Amino acid sequence: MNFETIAENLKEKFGEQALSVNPAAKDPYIVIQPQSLKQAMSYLRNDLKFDFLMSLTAVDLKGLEESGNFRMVYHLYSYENRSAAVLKTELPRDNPEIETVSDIWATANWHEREVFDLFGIRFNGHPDLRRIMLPDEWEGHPLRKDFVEKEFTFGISTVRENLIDTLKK
Amino acid sequence: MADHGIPEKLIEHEEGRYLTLNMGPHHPSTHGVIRLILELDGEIVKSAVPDIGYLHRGLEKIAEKCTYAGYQPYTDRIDYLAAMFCNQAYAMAVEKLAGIAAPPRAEYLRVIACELNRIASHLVYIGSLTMDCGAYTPFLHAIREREKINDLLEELCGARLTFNYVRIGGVSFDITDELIGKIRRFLDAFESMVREIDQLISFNEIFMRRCVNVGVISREDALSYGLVGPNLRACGVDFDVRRDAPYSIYPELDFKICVGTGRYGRAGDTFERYYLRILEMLESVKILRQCLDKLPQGDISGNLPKKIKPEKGADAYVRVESSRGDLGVYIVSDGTENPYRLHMRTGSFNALSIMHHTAPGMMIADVVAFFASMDVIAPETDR
Repeated sequence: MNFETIAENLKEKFGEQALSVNPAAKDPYIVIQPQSLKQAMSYLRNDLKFDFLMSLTAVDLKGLEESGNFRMVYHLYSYENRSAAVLKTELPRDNPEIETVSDIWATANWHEREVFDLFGIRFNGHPDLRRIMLPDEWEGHPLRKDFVEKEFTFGISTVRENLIDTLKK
Repeated sequence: MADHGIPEKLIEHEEGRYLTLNMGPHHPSTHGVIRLILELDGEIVKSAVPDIGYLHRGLEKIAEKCTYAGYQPYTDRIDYLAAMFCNQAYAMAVEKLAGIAAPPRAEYLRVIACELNRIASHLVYIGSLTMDCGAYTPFLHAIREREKINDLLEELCGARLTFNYVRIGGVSFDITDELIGKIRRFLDAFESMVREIDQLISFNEIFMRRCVNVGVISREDALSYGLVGPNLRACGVDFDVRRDAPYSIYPELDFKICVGTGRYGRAGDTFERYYLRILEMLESVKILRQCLDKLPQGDISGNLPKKIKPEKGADAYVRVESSRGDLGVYIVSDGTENPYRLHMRTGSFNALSIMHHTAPGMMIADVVAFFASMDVIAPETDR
């Protein structure tokens, strides 16, 4: 199944205005409105047989695009048709929320926890949304572009004097 | 929130009936620093909750502060047992993003280095799985063979673990004729070594009883939990990135993909995962022989721009078949010399996430065998 077929199928299902198609990119991708993402994912999984969620991640667009939104990126693969699909959607910076896909692919559970931990994006309906990499007491979300490292973390200094300057003294 | 760091709702307490046991973070069978919170009913596991993040080094954040070439040594630290694949995946992602191609000789050298690394990684797997099942001797045999590969790779690139060998646009050092001879001699000796491993351990009755029909994962669960590599193939899914989403020179090579059929028990059990790795090592030997025969002359590094600056807003995702399966690298560029965002999707992360689903109902000793058979490497889950 090639990219055009997937895009046409999605357009037929969700309407022209719900998505935009970018066939010229290095990995051709489809941008979809966040409110139709869950339905689209479930359609891709059940009808188009995309049985493998390769990667689920986010990109902080602050510094890349004026909107400063968050972009969710889903890479799917179908073992049955040997084809790949990339879906993207944008979430507003002030309240980033999206429906979980962990009930479609169980692997999304941990991937969404990782995105929640490092980007602070909330996944509605997620069964167990808590930090996965960082300690529960951690403040902030390090992969956001506006994250500022504190001088002390858990009482341990995160800054070190330049060794050469110390030797010169 | 309970004292042990997991939410109350995950455990159904019945006063005095269950025992909470922390396996790890420093338990020898957790292969690195991973903590399993086990809820036990006698010897039977009632729930198993993995707790990860002890080795989180923020490798994705570090990438945003490095230049494209400057990040290359960090990729070694993602998976210290199979660093070559992380090197290659990252280099391929940057090459795809910036439109750089590596010369043919470099592609062959990459495959040679990677397949040697695959054998080394599988040897550690075999050693540690058998050791976790209580057999100490096979570990020594496996590590002895791995040492020979480490020596070969050291002669190739000067490092034994963190190679930094595959670079953007090529590789760092050329191979010598002397080393080619050494690799050939190693391969000849290694084939008989695999037979020795088979005789010593694979069909040993005690070992088989520990592994056959233990920790069976169904095909549906494997797909849903996104298992990759040998773990996936053991469940009967016939897929290998090298053949089905080909990269580098793999289309020119002749090799077989081994799939689990339930040789001695059910497909997707611990023994199947173990035995597929043995078969894969033999396939790697085949690939290596072909590469050494076909190795073309020429440059080992392509024409690189002085500064790698991919187009603004471009992104690329590449997949590599590492020894732990499908390794994905996703890079977004903002038109400067640094990656804007880098994401690594690793096999161990998914392999560990199936733990809480499969472990309940197992004996605690089987959890150890099951865990070892999934080939989870802590730095790769945590990144």
